[in-house]
Amino acid sequence: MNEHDELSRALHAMVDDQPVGAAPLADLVRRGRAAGRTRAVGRSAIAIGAVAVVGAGTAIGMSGHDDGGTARHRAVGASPRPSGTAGTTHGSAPATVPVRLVDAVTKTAGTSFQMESYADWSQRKSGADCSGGWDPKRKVGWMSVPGGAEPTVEIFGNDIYERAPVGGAGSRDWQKYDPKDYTKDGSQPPPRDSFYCGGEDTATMSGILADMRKEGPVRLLGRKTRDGKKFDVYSVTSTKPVIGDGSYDTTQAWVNVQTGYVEQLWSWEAPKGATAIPSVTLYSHFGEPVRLHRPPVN
Amino acid sequence: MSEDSERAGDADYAAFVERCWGPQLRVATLLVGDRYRAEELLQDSLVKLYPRWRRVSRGGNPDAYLRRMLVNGRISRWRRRRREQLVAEPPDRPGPSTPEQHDELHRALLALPRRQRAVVVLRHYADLSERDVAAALGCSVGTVKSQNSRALEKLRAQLATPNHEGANT
Repeated sequence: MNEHDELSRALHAMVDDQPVGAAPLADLVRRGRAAGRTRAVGRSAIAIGAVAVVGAGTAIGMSGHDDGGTARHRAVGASPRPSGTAGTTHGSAPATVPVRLVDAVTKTAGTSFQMESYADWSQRKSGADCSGGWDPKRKVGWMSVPGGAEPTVEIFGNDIYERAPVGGAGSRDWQKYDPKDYTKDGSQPPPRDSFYCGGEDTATMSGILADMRKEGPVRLLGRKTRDGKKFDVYSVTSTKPVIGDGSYDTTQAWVNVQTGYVEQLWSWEAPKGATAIPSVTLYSHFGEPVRLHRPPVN
Repeated sequence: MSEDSERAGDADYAAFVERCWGPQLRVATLLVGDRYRAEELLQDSLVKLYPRWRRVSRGGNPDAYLRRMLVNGRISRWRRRRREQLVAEPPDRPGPSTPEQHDELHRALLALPRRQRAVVVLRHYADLSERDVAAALGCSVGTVKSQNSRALEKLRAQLATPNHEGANT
């Protein structure tokens, strides 16, 4: 028996008798569809509710409890009737972004806020897929995940604390990580300047803007009123289909006219003329303190 | 995309997932070191594959595509934590009884640089040709040979050392 055979036999002995169970097919398809839709905010970005923002060269995960963590968004009203129109954004000219949108993104990224994201807006009554808060000045934030009455990640500057959620396989004790630890086992380093929320990749405010720019020229759709608030709605639809079925990415940033903050991000993926259920991220509580206490670490 | 077309695509995708789930989960387990992270990686890869399924399946070799996703996939701790919460039936025990914590080969494997580990797993467990391993890793056959040689050398040295320290990965 040669070395290949011996090694092969040993490797098979290590794992072949492990039960593998059934593939979670329904969940994979559901997540796959959501991932397809949410690719709008950048070819590789966002997914199941990414969100934004700023951090000091480290990640910013977040989790669900803080002193003000009970705050919830007011529900947004009707959907903006997304459809997969290509708009008028064809051609190879450099994509443009309206200055006022750039200003709004900059302002939002520099301010503390809370957020909630919904991978499937039609299912919003079942709750957000992710919520969190972030204070870019103090570099403090939290993130909670589905069903997570408990936080899973808190960030204090360069210190990252994690705790497995209820029912999870991991320890319920808080663990503190150094960002450098993330690279030791091949894991992806914490996304820089990002507020990661379970997405396929990450999306920062600036990242979202960059991704919108990549899709094509961003244009001001106009002013809309929702829940008594006026918004300037900026939109971009990809200049070409992003997947084989002819679906175009569309992303919209809703800027509150009164405050100047980006309060809503909508994205969907659909063929021309078709409708799609969007993924939505909502921002709120701008400028309010994010109160967290460093968790005890055993 | 019409509903019929979508259903057909879903059926093909479902058949592929059911066929590949077990074998690829085992490959992923060897690649990342434990069953739960492996499942995380495999699920994430399959989710990413879904919107690309038509194109990939038309290409004729979705297995190779998925393999490449697994090898190049990066596990985010954020997502890992998130998925832990989404497990439909949370384990009430530490996981399947595997030699993960104690097996010398397992520790030696984890001590390898990630790329070398991938070469070992794909070449000696998945029994891929050097050419296919090169395709999965996006490198040359020569690189596969040299990485494999170095990996085997390290494994020999590790396994020959009694009571060696386990890899801290």
